[in-house]
Amino acid sequence: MPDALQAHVARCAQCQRALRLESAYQRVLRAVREAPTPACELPWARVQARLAARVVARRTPVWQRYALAGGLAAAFLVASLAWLTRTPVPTLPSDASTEASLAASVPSPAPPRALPEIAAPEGGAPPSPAPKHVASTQPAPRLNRPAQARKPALPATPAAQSPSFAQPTTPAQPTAQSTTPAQSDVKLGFRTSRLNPERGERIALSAYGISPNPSEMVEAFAFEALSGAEPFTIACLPLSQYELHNSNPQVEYLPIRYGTPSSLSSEGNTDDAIICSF
Amino acid sequence: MMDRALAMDNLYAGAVDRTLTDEQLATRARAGDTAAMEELYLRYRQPIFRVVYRSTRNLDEAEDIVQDVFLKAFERLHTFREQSRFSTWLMRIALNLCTDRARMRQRRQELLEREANHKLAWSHPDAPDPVETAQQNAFNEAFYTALNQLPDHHRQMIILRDLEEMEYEEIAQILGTSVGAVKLRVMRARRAFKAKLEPLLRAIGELE
Repeated sequence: MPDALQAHVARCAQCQRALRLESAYQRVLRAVREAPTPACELPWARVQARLAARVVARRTPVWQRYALAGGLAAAFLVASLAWLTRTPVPTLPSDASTEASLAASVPSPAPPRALPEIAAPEGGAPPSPAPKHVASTQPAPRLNRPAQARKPALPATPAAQSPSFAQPTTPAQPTAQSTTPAQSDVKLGFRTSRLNPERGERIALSAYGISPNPSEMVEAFAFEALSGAEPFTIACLPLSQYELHNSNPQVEYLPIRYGTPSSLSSEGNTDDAIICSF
Repeated sequence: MMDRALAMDNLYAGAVDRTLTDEQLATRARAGDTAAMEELYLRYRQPIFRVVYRSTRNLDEAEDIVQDVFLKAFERLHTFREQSRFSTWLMRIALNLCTDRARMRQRRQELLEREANHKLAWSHPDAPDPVETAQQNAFNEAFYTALNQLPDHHRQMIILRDLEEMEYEEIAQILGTSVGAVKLRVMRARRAFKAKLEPLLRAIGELE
């Protein structure tokens, strides 16, 4: 210990105490280090046996692997059978003349999109008069949806085009577009169609009716309950890339309430966005 | 019993070249070479046991922990990336298991104290035998009594640095921290330890 430090310790009681404690600590440490530690008597054979036992315990039994494979195969088989035996989707009538007249009446302000044409069901409705544009004093409804929420292509089957409905109908015959049971024989619903892709995107909403009896489908298509004998076109909505908007001031729309939870949450079809309720 | 176990171990431990380094043995053990595992076990059984025993002060528990250390090490050899020494990696596993056991022991101790408060005459399984205690060195008794009063992270520092006399760098590798942090922890651990040890040393007359 340097002389200066010794001189300080001689005067400082706190340092004297710390020095005494340190000396005692070193003595204790030395004694503890020198004390013999008992030897580990654990033999390697015991460790090896435990190791082997753990490996065996972790291994999956063979029957479990076969059971898992069998279960997966059975699930796949059931799913395949369910898919193959599903109910065929009935064809819905189409109002081609209505769609054509709608295309002619509304200019196309939106850029063309690469959406496939929705094929109108063949042999459906007879030619019908031009659609009736319904005037309304309310501002055009706007539907703002994010661009990434839209799918670039429409499904080809009518079942995926317009899953909305207007009135409840009987549950006797399943249809793809009218989805609720009704009290009458006629099912009512809305259908959306894309018109005149050369001029841009249009979406036409048309109402339709389906009878459970296919032979009565044409007669049932008239919407007496809503608008008399002629097919009732609700609106023709130009479709821009991101939203539906009213770019043609000469076209007015029915007051349509957009954004029902089911329609907005459904991202499966572009046309779903304009499925609406009055 | 101990001599017999050691003799059996020495008998079996001839199947592998003993000049191989720990890392070479670990590579072989990773490939399933049980002779390499055995050699590693024989090399590090006692050092690991010494540290564990100093932490637990219970022979049976220390052996259990040693067994768990090697089981865990051999099962997880694929995670040993040879960025540190095998002994360091093994010591880290041992310290972690000691910490886990200490927590379990603390919970058990609390339960026992609660039972004692309810006047139930349960014997403490970890309590030292009075006869054995009388025979032990007074220093040892004071030292381990004070050591057991320390929190686990302080106790590890005292064992690794002051009892095992490991270098700061090695401790830093074991704990996965910096040398500066280890020095700081050792300093704090010693301060706490001396505070616990001082009254015990006064009681045995070692300190005035």
